[in-house]
Amino acid sequence: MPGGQRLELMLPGLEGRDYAVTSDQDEGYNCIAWALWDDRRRWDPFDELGAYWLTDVPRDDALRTVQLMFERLGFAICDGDAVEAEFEKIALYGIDEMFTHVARQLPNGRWTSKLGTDVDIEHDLQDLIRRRSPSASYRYGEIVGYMRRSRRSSDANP
Amino acid sequence: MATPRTKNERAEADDVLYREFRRLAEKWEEETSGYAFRSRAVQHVEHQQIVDMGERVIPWMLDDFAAGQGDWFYALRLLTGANPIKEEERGYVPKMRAVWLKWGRQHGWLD
Repeated sequence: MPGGQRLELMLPGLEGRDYAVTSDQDEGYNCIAWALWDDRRRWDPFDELGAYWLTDVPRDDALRTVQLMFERLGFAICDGDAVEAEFEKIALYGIDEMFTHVARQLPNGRWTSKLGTDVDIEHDLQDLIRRRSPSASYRYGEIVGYMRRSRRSSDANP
Repeated sequence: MATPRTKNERAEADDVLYREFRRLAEKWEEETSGYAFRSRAVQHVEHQQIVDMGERVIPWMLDDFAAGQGDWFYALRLLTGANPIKEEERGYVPKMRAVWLKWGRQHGWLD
């Protein structure tokens, strides 16, 4: 199955949208890693998977927990998705209280996402949640908030 | 299903099991590749069905690792009870696969 078709089955909101695949498929890192500029490690709270996680953050997939982890790395909640040159910005997605995805803002105002163990894409935020029809499935729920940190803070990544 | 008694029956049973392993693995990957966390993926029924196949699938999982693919870290922990990944290796998928391959050779699961 062609890559684009596979992605659009996974995230139907991508169909017909101006998104671009920007990497090969890579199982070695996930969306949280990519949001933190890490393309070598998989971050996951579940201890038995052998993935990386901050030691002082709870091991669960609650939105609040993931938010706390980003706070530990210098991020703070902010109001919206406007580009601010001195800050790097992320958007959190969730379903109810469960974290589902995080995207990182690019300087041009668009967003970059690592889709699980699949590829990186450049996209608009709504592309990952737009529903083509009321019955269409969607994976990432809703955009539940934005966080930002000073661009200099990324030097502090573990 | 009756237990296979002859060499041919055992080979045929292995072949059937292997094809089912591959079918479930492919379906699991298709359905979960977009998940942020693999911890959510391993809750899928296909992963559970693969683990339920028992120790016979361990060499096939390690073969996948040798080919640079497969996401069998949790399944191998469940099936073997082992945890060979050191703290400093956590999250580095190619390194973790190499560690499991070494463990598999040391414990007789691979030649």
